[in-house]
Amino acid sequence: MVKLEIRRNAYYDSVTLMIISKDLKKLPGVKEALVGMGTDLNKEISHNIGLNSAELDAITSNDFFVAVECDKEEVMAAAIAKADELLNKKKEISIANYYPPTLESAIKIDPDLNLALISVPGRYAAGVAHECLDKDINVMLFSDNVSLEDEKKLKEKAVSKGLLMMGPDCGTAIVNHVPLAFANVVSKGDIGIVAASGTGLQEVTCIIDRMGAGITQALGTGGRDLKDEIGGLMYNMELDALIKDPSTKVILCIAKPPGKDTQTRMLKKIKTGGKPAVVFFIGGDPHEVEEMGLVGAVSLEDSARKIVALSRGEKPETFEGFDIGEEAADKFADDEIAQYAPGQKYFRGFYSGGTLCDEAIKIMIHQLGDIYSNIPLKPEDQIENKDISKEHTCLDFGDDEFTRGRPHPMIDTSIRVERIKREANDPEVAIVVLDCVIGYGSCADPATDLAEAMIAAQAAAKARGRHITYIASVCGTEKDYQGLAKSRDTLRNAGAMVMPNNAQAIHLAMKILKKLEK
Amino acid sequence: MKQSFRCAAISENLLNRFKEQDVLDLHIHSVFAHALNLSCKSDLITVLSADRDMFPLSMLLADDVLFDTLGLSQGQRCKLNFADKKIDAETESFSFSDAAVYDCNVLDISEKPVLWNVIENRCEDVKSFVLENGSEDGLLPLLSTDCSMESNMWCEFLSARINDLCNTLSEVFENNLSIERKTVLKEEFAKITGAGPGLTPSGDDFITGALSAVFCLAAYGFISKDVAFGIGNCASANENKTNHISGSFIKQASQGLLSYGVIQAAKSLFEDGFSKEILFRNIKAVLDFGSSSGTDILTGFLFALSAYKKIKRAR
Repeated sequence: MVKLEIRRNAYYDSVTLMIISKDLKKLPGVKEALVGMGTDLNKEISHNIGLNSAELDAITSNDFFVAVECDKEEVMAAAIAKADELLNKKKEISIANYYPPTLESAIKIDPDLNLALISVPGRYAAGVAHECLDKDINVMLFSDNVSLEDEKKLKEKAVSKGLLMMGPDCGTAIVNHVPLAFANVVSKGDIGIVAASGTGLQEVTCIIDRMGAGITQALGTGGRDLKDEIGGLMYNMELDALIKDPSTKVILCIAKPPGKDTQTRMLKKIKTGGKPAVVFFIGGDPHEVEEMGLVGAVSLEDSARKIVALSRGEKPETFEGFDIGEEAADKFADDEIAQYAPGQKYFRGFYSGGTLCDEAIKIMIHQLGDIYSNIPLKPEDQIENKDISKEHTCLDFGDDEFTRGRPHPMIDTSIRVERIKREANDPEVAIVVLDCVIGYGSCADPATDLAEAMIAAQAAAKARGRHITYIASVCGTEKDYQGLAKSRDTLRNAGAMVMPNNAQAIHLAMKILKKLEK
Repeated sequence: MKQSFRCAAISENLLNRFKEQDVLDLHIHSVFAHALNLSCKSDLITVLSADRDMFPLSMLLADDVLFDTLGLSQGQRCKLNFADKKIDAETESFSFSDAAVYDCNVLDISEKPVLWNVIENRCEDVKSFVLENGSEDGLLPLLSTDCSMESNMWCEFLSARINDLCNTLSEVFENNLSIERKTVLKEEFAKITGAGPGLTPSGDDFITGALSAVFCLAAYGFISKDVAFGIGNCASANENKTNHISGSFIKQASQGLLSYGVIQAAKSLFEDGFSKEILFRNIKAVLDFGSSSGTDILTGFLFALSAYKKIKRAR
């Protein structure tokens, strides 16, 4: 018998019709099948292959039909069910590969979506963020150039609705174990983190992971959240969330030193939250934290080590040493100094991560006096020309003046590669410190780019009778697609001393500089 | 709030076709993942996602859009406002205020062709390329002369009819279009129209391809434009023998209005300055239309050119 399924004025694309036609013929019990539009000639073909039916004769060329020759009703039912399944499957496939052009179309595809990562030019960013918050969608605002007034309004709205408003200029977060923007693949654990710092958050989450611990959430706030003008609106809300989160046992807070009022409120909240916490104000005084009965830290590494200790129920101890040991560090410093030519005495830090650059300056400045930078600690240390180093220089290549009109140096290494090579011409350079940030958002193989630059620069220095010490650290985990060990090996094979993290890289540079002074 | 989408391009014949009217009442004819068809009397106007090929009476969006995820459904009313340069549907609007204008009329080509024997040689290359890369689900086996490709029921049904059509086309190229030949040609197009698998049946795609070749021959001066339009009229007379969407393509092709992909492929076949690599890339772009549509269009294209080749050789 011949069974028919007819859909009047129904149009399906040819690819779908072809798949259905082929698959129906493979079904058990189906002797013949024809799928198509009900034109006169298709009806004629249908008759020719034995699919005769008065019902088929009555359809028009704008009707879609499935004709099946089979002996049983259930075979026909199975054929129609299969056709439906294939029609719906096609739609699912197209949606899986689809990048919705508007917020509305994204919501239509997935009405349950509840977090938007916004990266649009600054002048549109606040509007898009408001739109998301109005639709009860949490926001991570990657864009910068949003006014303080707009930031405050957005955060007030978010707080009133109990939504996250991370940013503006929020480059890193890990929410429910999903890395967002520049972030790394880290293990799950019981440490919750709030940070007003992008690469700072990356550095601590990676150190925590490498120590065998893990995180619950790593939430960003945007760098200005703790200014008194914003008053830590988001920091406060995120802290609340971590305090209430049953899977978060300990809390790590990272930020540049906040406004005075905001700092007091923030520390009180952490104190009354009842969960063990470490607070690291980058460049701030840890005693101010400790006076409140909380655990302070002196570096990103130190804060990571302390929070892991708290998570394990151990006593947190301050760490400012070397994994390789003091003796090995001394020997390395002596060996390097022995290769320097007279006049080589300055340090250069070339960073892709702003917080890592900031950390380097803050660790070194008390010993070195002046460190010239595009993000200086003292106004008088502002570098006059970002393209020309001066004495001890530490540069954040991710800062606006370097990235205007070009990708961030974590995405495109070329600006640092050029600078590393150029610096070999300076007879006063002794040490170059580099970060190598891997993970989501970063380019596919930053280590190789930096390695090639170091090899070329070292060769140029050698040709002039000099030797440059390259000290690098990789911010990442073995689970990142670029690979931590592979990246470290690449840098090491190019002649760099690879330290476990930025703080140890800076301490090693400091050791050499101190010995040089003597 | 309505979602608004920006059109990057609009076909010239869409602007010209309705230039006398400020506002057109339309209704949604059909919604596909990457295309939205709007019905206006006997015409279909198509809004295309950015990843599709531009064709006559269409506009191309600046972004990839899945129309079947929007609030559009068959039968909904909408307006095409030429003053405001936008299409307004219930939940979406499509603005073409800054859209580039696409000239889809192959007869507007003003470049000179290469010598016919060069075109013939290129056709052989294209044929080999299509046989190697085309879809075997439609009429491709008809192109195979060494029986290396297994035939299918569509080819068996249409093979003799297509040969008859091509023989008549040769006669028309040779002797012009008499009233008798018009009648014969119209019947022969009718015997192919609407036959085959897919939304645009293979027979229809074959006709669209054959008409594309006929108008290319006219555009490059190998036959007269009158003959091309005469052949086109014979084909479009059977428009109602297939569905609206497929009939719309035949109707456009019968006036020399072709898709961007087909025009690019034709230019690289007929004109100087295109490498074989570019020719094949453009042919591949046509092959990628639909399931077997692109292959069937090129099969029709090559059959029509071989019908012309016959008379060139006879001469």
